[in-house]
Amino acid sequence: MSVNAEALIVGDLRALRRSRGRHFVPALVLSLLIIGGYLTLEGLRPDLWLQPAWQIAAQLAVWLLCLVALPAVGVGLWFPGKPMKLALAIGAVLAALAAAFGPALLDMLPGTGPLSQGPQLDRCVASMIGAGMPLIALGVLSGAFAQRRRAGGGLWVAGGLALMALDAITWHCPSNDLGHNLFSHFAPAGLLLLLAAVAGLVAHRRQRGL
Amino acid sequence: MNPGISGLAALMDRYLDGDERAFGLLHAAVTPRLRGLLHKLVRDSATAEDLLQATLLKAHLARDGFVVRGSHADAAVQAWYATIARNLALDHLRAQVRDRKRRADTKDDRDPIAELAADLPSIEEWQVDRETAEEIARRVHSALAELPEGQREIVELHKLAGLSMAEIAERLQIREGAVRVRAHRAYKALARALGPAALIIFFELLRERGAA
Repeated sequence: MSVNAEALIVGDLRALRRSRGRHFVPALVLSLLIIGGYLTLEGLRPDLWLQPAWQIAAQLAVWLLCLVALPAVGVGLWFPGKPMKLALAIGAVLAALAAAFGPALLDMLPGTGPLSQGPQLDRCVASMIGAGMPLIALGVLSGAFAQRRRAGGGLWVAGGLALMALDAITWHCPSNDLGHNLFSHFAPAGLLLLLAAVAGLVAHRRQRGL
Repeated sequence: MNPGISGLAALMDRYLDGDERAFGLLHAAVTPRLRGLLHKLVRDSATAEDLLQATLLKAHLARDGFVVRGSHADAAVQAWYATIARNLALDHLRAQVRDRKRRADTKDDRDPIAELAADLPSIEEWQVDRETAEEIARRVHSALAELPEGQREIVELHKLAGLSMAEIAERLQIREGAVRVRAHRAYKALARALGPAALIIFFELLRERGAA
């Protein structure tokens, strides 16, 4: 009697997913410890629950995206179709904008005055880089960037890490100033995304032996 | 949903990343063609099915080596599976030819005792009592003593010590073919001296003792 190759292969793929899950959960716990440790040390913004409901909802959505959805796609635990992936990417950008800027988002409309702050290395930038680097190191050391066959899979993990740092600083810094939020919150998140993507690319090449 | 040939590369990509749903769809898309190809090559449905399963398993184990060369990604997936299937079918056909040739070569070299066993009653049907068994054993040992040293040694190692022909060849530092030839001659001589039935009973008794 012939073996059932399909059943054996599906069993193997499920075992692979379980193995990824066993790596994912500890990395998630460590990420929560890093973010939780940062927020405990630096403190939550006093007006956290006084923000507009839609901004809080956006921040919670960002937490969900950066802690669960994006890494799950990046490490191969969740395989959404193309439309869903596109929705996730666009949703992450929009949620991040809404979460980081809040009502100041409306000030970005044309015709508003000059920004109150330009690029500068302040405490928020240092905090974000300080919290972001251990997250990137965790991503590299846990092998999260090398789980997918294509290096592009690591971009989902990198996006998740950058959003974690962005949401963490948003929950710490009470600023509603467009200039500060743009140059000291959003731009460092972009920088972290770039650093994580490069680190992920290098890790992918090294860990997959390419 | 059966994606047909279009979309195979996307499914393959997701399957290679570990997506079991994509594998299910890919499996549904590629197996009908592979089954047809294998059936055309081996001309036997059961063998074609076995080879199809082997193809899928081999492809799964070698999936990290899959790369798309050229612009026809979907066709590359089909070609990859087809190449594995064709190689397996050719290996199977070559093995069949080798097997037939070996059988033809060793037709006169088969164990005459084993051949006779099929036509004879089982050990339970013989209802051998202890005295008869001892008498047979004595006769077998006596007939064994009459054999040339080289043949006796092989029978003792094969039937009494339970070694395979390959193990005997290794132990005696001679070719396995030579061992088979000597064993064949020895069993023929023993069967002539004792009658095949007595020899079979003796070997069955030995095997029972070994199992006990």
